[in-house]
Amino acid sequence: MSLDNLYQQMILEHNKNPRNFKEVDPNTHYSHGHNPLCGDDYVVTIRLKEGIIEDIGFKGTGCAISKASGSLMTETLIGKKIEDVLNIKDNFLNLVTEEDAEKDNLGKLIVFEGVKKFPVRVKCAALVWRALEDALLNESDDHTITTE
Amino acid sequence: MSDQEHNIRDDFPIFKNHPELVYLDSTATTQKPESVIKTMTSFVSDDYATINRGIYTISQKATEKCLAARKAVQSFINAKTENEIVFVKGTTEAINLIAKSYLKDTIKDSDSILLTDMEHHANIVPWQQVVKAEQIKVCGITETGELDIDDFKQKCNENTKLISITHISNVLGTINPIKELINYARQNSNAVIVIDGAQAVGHMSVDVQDLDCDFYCFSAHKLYGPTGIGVLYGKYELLEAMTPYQTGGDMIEYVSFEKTTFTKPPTKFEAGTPAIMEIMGLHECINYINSIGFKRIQSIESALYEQLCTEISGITELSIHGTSKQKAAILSFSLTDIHPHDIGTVMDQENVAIRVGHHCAQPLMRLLNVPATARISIGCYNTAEDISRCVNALKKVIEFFK
Repeated sequence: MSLDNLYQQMILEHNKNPRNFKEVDPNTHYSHGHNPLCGDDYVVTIRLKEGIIEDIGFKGTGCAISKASGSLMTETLIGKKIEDVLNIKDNFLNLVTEEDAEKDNLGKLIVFEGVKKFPVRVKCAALVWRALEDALLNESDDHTITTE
Repeated sequence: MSDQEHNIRDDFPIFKNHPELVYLDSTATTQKPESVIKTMTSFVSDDYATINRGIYTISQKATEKCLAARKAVQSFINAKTENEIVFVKGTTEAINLIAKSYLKDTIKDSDSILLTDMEHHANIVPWQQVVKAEQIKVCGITETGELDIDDFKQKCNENTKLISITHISNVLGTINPIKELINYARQNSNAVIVIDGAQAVGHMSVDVQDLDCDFYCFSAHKLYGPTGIGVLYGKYELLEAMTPYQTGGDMIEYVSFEKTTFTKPPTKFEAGTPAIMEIMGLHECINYINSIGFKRIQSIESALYEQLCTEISGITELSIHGTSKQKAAILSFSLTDIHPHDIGTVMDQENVAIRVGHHCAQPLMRLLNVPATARISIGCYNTAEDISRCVNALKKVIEFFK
């Protein structure tokens, strides 16, 4: 269990220069993700057009893992069909928690594989993905989620 | 090294079992000396029985031991009688008890209560459950993390029903001038004064009569003792006038289905079989602290804190939160562009345990304009090597995220 496993170069680079670090305006989907234990706090905004993610952004504050996760998530999902998005989301959440995760469609996101060796940091990687899930699937008006 | 100057670290089995561990999170909870662990285990294996009701010998002995523990606490904080010492689960329960059993019954709409910007959630949220938001006044802090005394004086007046202040801030390390504040409050209000002593009792000697506070709260687990036991000190007249917090066994005189009468303090507030084994641990941790003495504890902690400040002084990326003149050995800090969680993980890889997060003080985090901080806190078992290894680990963090 080495640090380089957790903080791969790509993660460090995306932490320093996060992509799509913005609020999409106008947007069709929105969620606010918050981890009350550590204070990580992001808003995920999405513009969905004809079942395809036309634009997606994330904005807020948090650690290197959570920020790089938002950056790589948004970069990966732009232009994807919603079915694929939800499938990637499930695979990503498996990747950071399970040993035998399906990795085929994860692309660069595979750099987060090391997170599962650091159980207290899994929530950091998962936060923006939980917010994405809430934005796309939760039909109520309250789009706030917390991970603990 | 004389006999009295034995190596304190050797008293703590955790450091034998983890020789590599640099433990710098004593503000969250302290490690336990062998004597506390042994006292608790031998009580359970040799002498365990319930207290108060047993007619048989070992129950009588357990009852006597609990009374001795109560007296040890009384003497530890210099309360007038042992009946002013209520056993609770910890500081949090102590404050909840005061909120529910004292404040809730006595507060009027025109009253206010006074807290400060540096309080732990445990000294904010229980009050919010019994008073309206507009009744809560908050004393501000200065740039260095000291209480703004002028603001305190302005907000402490004849409408102030209760004042609750931390003795030592768990984030800023500030030692508040409690005696001076109480003195002012006595002259300018009729407020009941509560002191959150969670961070103080393990690091400095506390005399509740000299302070003249009405209530003083602390937990054993920050005092080298067990979790699950703590103390509410209250002036007897106040405790006597208060309603019970919980009801049930052990706190009654006569029970019928029509009416129940309650015992006097402190047992009035101790419904149910108490944490007997933890009470034994609390007694022993007080013995342990007394055997070392606050003079030695303070000289160890302040020397290490000074060493820490000197060793970090060259790290330009590091900013300190809280630079009060009167300060405990607690250092909260931020590193430029590195989130506290990442600091914590990298330091953990170097076997250095520090706390990162909001430290249950979200209002203070907002005031400091940070989402979280990293915090190094020192206990009497820490060493100069711990501090050097901690600072080296900090330098690695900076190098890693460069």
